[in-house]
Amino acid sequence: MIITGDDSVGIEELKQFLCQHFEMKDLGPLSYLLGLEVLSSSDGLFLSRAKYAYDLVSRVGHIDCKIKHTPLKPNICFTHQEVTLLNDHTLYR
Amino acid sequence: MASPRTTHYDDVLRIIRYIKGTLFYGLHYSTTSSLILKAYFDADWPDDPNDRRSTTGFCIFLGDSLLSWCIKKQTLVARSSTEAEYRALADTTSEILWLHWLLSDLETSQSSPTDLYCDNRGVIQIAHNDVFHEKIKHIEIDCHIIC
Repeated sequence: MIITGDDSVGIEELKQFLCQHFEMKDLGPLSYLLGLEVLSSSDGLFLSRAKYAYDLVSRVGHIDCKIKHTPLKPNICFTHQEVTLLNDHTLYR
Repeated sequence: MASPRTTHYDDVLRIIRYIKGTLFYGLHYSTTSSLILKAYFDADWPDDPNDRRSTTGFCIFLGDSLLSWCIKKQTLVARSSTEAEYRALADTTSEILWLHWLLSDLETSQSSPTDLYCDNRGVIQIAHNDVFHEKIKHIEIDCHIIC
C-alpha cells in the first residue's frame, strides 16, 4: 500500500489507525514497487525500471552486445510472407 | 504470435540491444512543474500490410511530466490518412476526458481547455468545422466525441 499526500500529520495518523486494526509493517519512504524504482529528491520524483530492464537483457544473454539507438529499423514492415520459420518458438517468449 | 519467423527474432534482439542502451532512462516528475495538461497525437496509415489497420499514438503531459501514453492499433481500417488521424484524435480526446475527471478528483481541475497538437491539417479543419462531408460521413460518431 502506498500512502501519499502533503499532510504529513494526517499520513502519520492514518498509519497509526491502520496499525491498530491490521497487522502491518511500515517499509518507509517508497523506493521500489512492482518493478518500478522510485527516487525522490527535493526537486521531484524519478521513476525508472532499470532492474527490470537489466534482468530482461541478462535473460537473453546479450549483456556484451552492441547498443542500438533505435528499437526498430526505420520503415520496417512485418509480413506473414517471410519464409524462414523460427525453429525454436520458446526463444521468442 | 503463432508462427514467428527468423526476421522477427532478429528484431526482438535489436529491441533488447536498444533496451541495453536505455537501462537508466526514466521519467522525472518535477515538484515545480505546472499543472496544465497538453497532448500530442499522431497516426500511422496504413501501417500493417497484413490487416491494413492504422496505429494511434499519443502522449499527454501534465506540465513537463509525461502522464499518459499509448501506441495502439486502431480497431477499424481507415480509408484515408485523415480518417486515421481523426480516430487518433478521438482516442486522445477520450483519454484527456478521463484525465480531467481524475485531476478534478485530486482537486487540480483544469481551468482552460486542453491543448492538443497534431501534424495533420485535414484533422484540424474537420475539428473546427463539424459539417459532414462525403469523405468523412462514416466517421461521424468519432467527430461527435470531439465537437
